[in-house]
Amino acid sequence: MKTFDQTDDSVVVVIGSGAGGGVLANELAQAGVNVVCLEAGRRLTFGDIVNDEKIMDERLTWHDRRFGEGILNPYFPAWMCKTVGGTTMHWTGTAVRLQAHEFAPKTHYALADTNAIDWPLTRADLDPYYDLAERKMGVSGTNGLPPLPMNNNMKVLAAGARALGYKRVTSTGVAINSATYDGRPQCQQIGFCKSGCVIGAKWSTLYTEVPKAEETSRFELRPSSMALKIEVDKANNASAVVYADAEGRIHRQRARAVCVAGNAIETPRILLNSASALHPDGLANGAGQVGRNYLKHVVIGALGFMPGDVHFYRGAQQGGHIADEQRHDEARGFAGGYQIESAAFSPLAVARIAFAGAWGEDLAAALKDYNRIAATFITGEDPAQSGNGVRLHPDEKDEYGLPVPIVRYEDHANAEPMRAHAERQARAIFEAVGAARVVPFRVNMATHNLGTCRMSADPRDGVCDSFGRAHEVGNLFISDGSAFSSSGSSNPTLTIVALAIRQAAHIRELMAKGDL
Amino acid sequence: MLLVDRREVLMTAAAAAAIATIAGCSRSGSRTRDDALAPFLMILFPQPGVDPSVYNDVARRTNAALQRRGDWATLKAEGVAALDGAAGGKWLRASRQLRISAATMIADTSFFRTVYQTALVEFYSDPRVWAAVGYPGASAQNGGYLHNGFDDIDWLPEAAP
Repeated sequence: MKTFDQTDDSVVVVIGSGAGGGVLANELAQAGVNVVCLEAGRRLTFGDIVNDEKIMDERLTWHDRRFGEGILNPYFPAWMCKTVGGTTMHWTGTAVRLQAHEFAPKTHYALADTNAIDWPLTRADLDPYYDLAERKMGVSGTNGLPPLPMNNNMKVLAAGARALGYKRVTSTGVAINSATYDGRPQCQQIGFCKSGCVIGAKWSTLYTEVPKAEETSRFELRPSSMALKIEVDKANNASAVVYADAEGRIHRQRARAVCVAGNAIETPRILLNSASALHPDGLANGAGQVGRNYLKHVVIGALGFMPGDVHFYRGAQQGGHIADEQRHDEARGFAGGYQIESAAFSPLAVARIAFAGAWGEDLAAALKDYNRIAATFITGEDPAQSGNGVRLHPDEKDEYGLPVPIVRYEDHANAEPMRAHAERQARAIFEAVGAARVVPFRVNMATHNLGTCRMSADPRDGVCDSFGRAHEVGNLFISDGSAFSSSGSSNPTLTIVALAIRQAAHIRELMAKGDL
Repeated sequence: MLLVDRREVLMTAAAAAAIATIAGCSRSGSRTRDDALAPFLMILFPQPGVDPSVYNDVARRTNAALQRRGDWATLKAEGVAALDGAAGGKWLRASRQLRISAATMIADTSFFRTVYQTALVEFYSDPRVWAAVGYPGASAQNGGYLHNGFDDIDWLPEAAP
């Protein structure tokens, strides 16, 4: 396995190995660039991935101390992963392109009290990279792959949706192998997608991008390596990354360029923790935008208690979606749209999430009908707000003496009418196919964490340009969902991957021009 | 918010047996301050078909998990006292209806919330509870559901294509 010297300043240092970092690192290595990838979490093997939510939560989830404010959980504001593969380990595979209007919310949405901007690129700009991302990931319904076969839960959702007149009901757009693809097996409908796929049918960088990059001999993965600080030299170049290994020893890797893909909480945190004489308010934060505009989607779920058995735990936890409500149509009383997906929950998740706070006969009666539950999860556009974001705690420090993050999120006024509409539609879907009872529920915790180092055409509005290159530091890149200028209504991973592929091509061009 | 259904509910035979074992004149003679926990969990999670031994095990695991809190012994003593107070006598000897009412009355206390949050995870992660609700848990060892019923639903109305 290739290793690089810590003094080797020919390497691009990529922080994070998930959808952004893992893809970027592999794309660069394939193109002949030397890469060191620093990943805070451990590297698991297939033997470590088991059908056990509790065990996998311990192995995958980022449990470092954080604080939440606003409507977020005060001690666990966001759910993400700390392991090689990042959140591609617990994601559920929905891989849908953002819509053209979602790249231009400021142009299309008449919303007050937002900090919304249009993306500095269009859907048409990104389409060629979406093509590449779908091919890389084996997205169902693309590249000759059939739609993922619908499981019972998705069949209930689809039948109800069609009864309401919805047309865009599909099990395409899932990065779970609907047939053998890229050396990985067809989905065996095992369930437990959120605990890591035990057979590798769901795309994750752990067993695709990372080993492929290693085969190039131009890539070194350093797991259990927590990036602490990015150093900038007198010429304003990011010159090294300071990190801690598993034993807490501090190292310093020199760098030709630094790409940050630590997810939308850790990415701004490391920039804020990298303040220096040249960047007194945090690295690349001259405009004060690092950590702002945190987006997490407006989310609701709903359970339908159906007239017959569903066994919704069988198969892909998210096995398809309905796109009809993703249009922008202000006649509905809100801006932007929402995506309706199938979703499955363990008994614990039903109790803890859908029936949060319930006990006694109410809870027991619901769980008694566990096998009759069909469920949906709905994600909607989340307008950018300057006050939502990540900042450093004034007192609390982590084991390395660095301030821990505080994440703040409050709803925009657009959220409630959207949620109310989505709840009505979810109820109607399940009732159309005979639900005796529908239980909508609110989820404030985020798994889609976006926007905190966003792209902007005007450097005053964001942190990086349309390629993720920081406005203020020419060899610093934002390479994860932090770079999103808006949330759109679909799951973000496919867009993160498309942007990473595009960024890798751009970095190669800059290098070829002598610009990096 | 009142989340308990106040209908009079027949105590399951299993639950009754457990309470008799734990609260009554113990055969083992090893009654401790933990005695209220399993019956309390039966009020919190009265899941049909779950054996009393599960409540005992979950109570033990909950107790062990909460021991790590320095204030657990105090919290528990206060909780049991609050339950007794709310029941107007020994909570353990009260009728099921009265035990539910007493639990409802202390639902805002730190004791209730702490036990609820910890025990909920322990209880609904227990494979014996899964079996009672019809959830088989891990499926990989059986090859998943691709050839074993993932799309076997037969009661849906025929949908237009």
